[in-house]
Formats: sequence, structure tokens, C-alpha cells
Amino acid sequence: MGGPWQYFVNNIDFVLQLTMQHIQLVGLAVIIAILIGVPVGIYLTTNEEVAEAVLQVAAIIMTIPSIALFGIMIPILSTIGHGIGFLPALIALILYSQLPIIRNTYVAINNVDPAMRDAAKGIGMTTWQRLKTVELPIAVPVIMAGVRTAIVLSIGIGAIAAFIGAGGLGVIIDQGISRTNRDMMLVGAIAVSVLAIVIDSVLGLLQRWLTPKGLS
Amino acid sequence: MIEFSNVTKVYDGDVKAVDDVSFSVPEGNIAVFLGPSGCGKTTLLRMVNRLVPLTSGTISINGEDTGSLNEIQLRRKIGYVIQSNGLFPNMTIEQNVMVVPNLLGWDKKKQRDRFNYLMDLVGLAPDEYRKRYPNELSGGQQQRVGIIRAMAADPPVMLMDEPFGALDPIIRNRIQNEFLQIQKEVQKTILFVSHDIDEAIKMGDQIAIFKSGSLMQYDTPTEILANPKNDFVNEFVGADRAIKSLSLYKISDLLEEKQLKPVNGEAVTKVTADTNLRETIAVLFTEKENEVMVTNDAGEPQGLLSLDEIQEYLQQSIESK
Repeated sequence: MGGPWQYFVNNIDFVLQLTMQHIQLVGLAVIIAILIGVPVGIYLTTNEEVAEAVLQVAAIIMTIPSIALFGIMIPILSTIGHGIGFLPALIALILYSQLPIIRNTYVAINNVDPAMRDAAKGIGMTTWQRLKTVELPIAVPVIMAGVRTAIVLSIGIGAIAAFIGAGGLGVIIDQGISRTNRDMMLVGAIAVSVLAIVIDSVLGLLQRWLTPKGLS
Repeated sequence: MIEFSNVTKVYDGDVKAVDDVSFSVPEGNIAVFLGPSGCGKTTLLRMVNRLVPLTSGTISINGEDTGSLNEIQLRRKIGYVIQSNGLFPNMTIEQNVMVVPNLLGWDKKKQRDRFNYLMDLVGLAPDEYRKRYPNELSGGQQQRVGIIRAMAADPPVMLMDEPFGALDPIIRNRIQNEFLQIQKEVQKTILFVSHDIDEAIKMGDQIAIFKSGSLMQYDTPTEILANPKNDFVNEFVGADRAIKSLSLYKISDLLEEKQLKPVNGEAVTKVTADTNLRETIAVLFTEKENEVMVTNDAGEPQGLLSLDEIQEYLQQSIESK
């Protein structure tokens, strides 16, 4: 195992720089995905038929291979001069993150005990107050689980975004492949895995911290 | 006073959940809505705070048509207790109890004082439970908190949907008694849904019996037991209605119609005149006596009472009414 380790030590700045790029890409994508997915998930709880359709579409998006999705976006985004690079990668990750976030939000809010909702209503809370003080806090653990899935997923897919010039840890893998350098490929792959594990653990702590005390 | 006039609820065009119901509940009384499941009692209850909209008719509280009020404002003025207590698991006990005062914008001091007062009322130490969460409390404690949450902003009217239904019989009995004690003090107008005739007799100043959405009889518990209006009510109150009515009569009621035998000097067990007949019989059985000595509040003997006289009195009251 001297090879990959040696490569890592010799190129630590390069690896760290790519890691930061990777985090930026995934971080921004998931933040935007949360801002879209959570409100959509909440809205869907009020409309069963739309919910069915939206969840279907989100599931279909998930099945598109990432390479194909990047390919589709090249001609579309070329019209605004961003056929390759950061923007298409960002959009792809936002799209992939929608299913876990929307679905978990939808399920979490839908699964709030009807008695709880009834009590909140009967007490005289407005819809917004009910959402803010009762339903969302109770739903937080499940929503957070969806966010974690989205992030881990995005870290993996983010590696492929290197092929369209979005940077990130995929660059090492990409270069390793073209130079048939096994050590580089390994370092890239391990770095992606370690990043996913570390971020997921941190989010696990965050999830526990966000979960209301009375629910644990 | 709560007045129901021609209240009707129709679902899906033809299913009548509540069918042209009219009656009124005097201020400070407990009216129990009684009937088998699916009889419309819960629907009727939920129409009062407009969780279920009326198809036709009106419900007014102290002369004000509930339909003319903003439903959010209306609900904040009506206490609401449900069977599964509905406490919010993400909030502490104090936050739960103070939900409505908080929505109404009470200041901290006023909220704290009110919380302390209410917790004392149900025998829970305010400081011990203030920061706890509902899942740390027993079922009985949770239900007590559920009740005082409904009372928090001192609403004149309370709706209680089988509030004690999920509790075991011993705890239920205790909380029923506690609640009646509290009611003596606070004098709310209460609508109380139950499917249990014994609970209805115990808790109700009036009982409304429903069958498939229609009001079968609306009367005091004594009147319902003594004089069921139709076969349905008769069957619902049960063949043992005479025994059920025992707890509704006190010795003092019996004294109005009957002369007691004079005390002959022999030492027998004493009971006061405000003891109900059910307890009196229990005393007769456990003490293996034929007679008990009835005394007034001052403890002076009024006469001797035997099982035969109680039986006679009950038979009369059931036949005459």
C-alpha cells in the first residue's frame, strides 16, 4: 500500500483543494435542494394527486444515469454559455437530491399523528403555526435522514462531474484513468468514500441535535 | 349556554351523520353525548369548534352564532381535550399547557402563574414537571396535563372527546372524581363525549343519547334511568338501570318521601344523609347489618334505614317518573 499513500502525501495540497471543490459543489447543491424539496414536500401533503405525480417524476430523474444527464444538459446549457463546468454539475446534483428530500419530507409530515394535528387545529393554531410549532419539529428526524441520503448520493455522483469539468475529487480519478495510474485512482476513490463517511457522521450529530428532546 | 338548533351534517350528499338535532346546555353544566360508535356524537362535538363544518342549522354559545366568528378565534375560546391527549411530544409540559396563552400573547409572568395554578389543581408539582416532556409522564398524568391545557386560557366552554377512554379503570375513576371536583370550582360549560353509560351517569348534569345521528333523549341522568323515552334508550341504559340509578340518589332524597323507623337504641353503623344509596347498600353488605343509622350533618341520629326501604324507594322512583 506504499503507492497510494505515497501519492497522497506528495500531493496533499492538490487533494485537499479538490476536496474543498467537491464540498462546495455538493454543499451548494444540497442547500438549494433543501430550499426547493422541503417546501415542495410540505405542499404535497395537501394534495394527494399532485404528490403521486411529483414523486413519480423525482423517481424517474433518479434513474437517469448521471453521465447521460450531463450529456443532455450540454446542448441546453450551451445556449447560455455553460454547457460544461460547475453549473450543469450543480443542476444535476440538485435534481438527484430532490427524491430523497421531497419524499422524506412528504412522508414525515404525513405521518405526524392525526390526533396531534387535530389537537393543534382544535386549539386554534393557524396552518402556519401548526406547521412551525408542531409538524415540522416532529418531522425533523425523518427529513434529516432524507438530507443525509441526498448528500451521500451527491458526493458519489459529484465525482463523475469531473468529466464535464466541474472539478472536485473526480479529477484525480479521471486523471488516474487516463494515465492508467492505479495509485491516483485509488486515492481519488478512497477520498470520495472518506468524505462521504465523515460528512454523514457530522450530519448524524446534527440530526440528533435538531431532533426535539421529547422525541428521543 | 350552548344552543344547538336544527344542526345537521350530511356527508357525500346522502349520509346523515347528524340529523336535525336541537337542544341546549345551560351554563356551568356538563352535558354528556352518549351513544354507540358511529352515532354522530363526536361529529356533533367537533361541529361546535368548527373542526367539522355544519351542513345546516346553527350552534350558538351565549347567544353568539359560532358560524359568525373567525374559526381560529373561536377555537382559542373553547377548550379541547381528546382521548389520546394530543400533547405535543416536541414541547415541554409547560410549553404544552401554555400553548393557547402563548398564541394569545400573554406575558411570561402571567403564563407562569397560570401554569403553577393549573398544575396544583390536578395535583402535579409545577416545578417538577415544568421542563419534562410528555413521554416521561404516565398515561394518567398526560391526560391531566391534556385537561389543564384545555383550561389554560380559562375558556368558558370545554369540549372533551372521550377524555378518559384510554385510561385503565382505576385511574379513570380517580381522574373522573378529580375532574368533578375541579368542575365544582371552575364551573365550565362542558360537552363530553362518551360511549360508557356509567361514565355518563357519573359525569353528566344532562345526557344526550344519540342513535344514527338523531337525538333519542336529552334529560338528566335520573330522568333517563327512571323514564327511558324509547326502546333504544331503554336497551342502551341496560336492564340494570335501577342499580345504576343508585348512585344518583342520596338518603336525603329518600327522606323526602319516606319516614324512617325511629332509633331504638341499639348500636348500628352510622351514615350521613348526603351518602348516596349505592354506598349505603355497600355499607349494609360489608357491615352485615340489616339497618344503618342515618345522621344529619351535626351527627344527630335521624332514624334507621333498611335495604327494603331502599328497594321500595327505587321501584317507586322508576315507576312514577
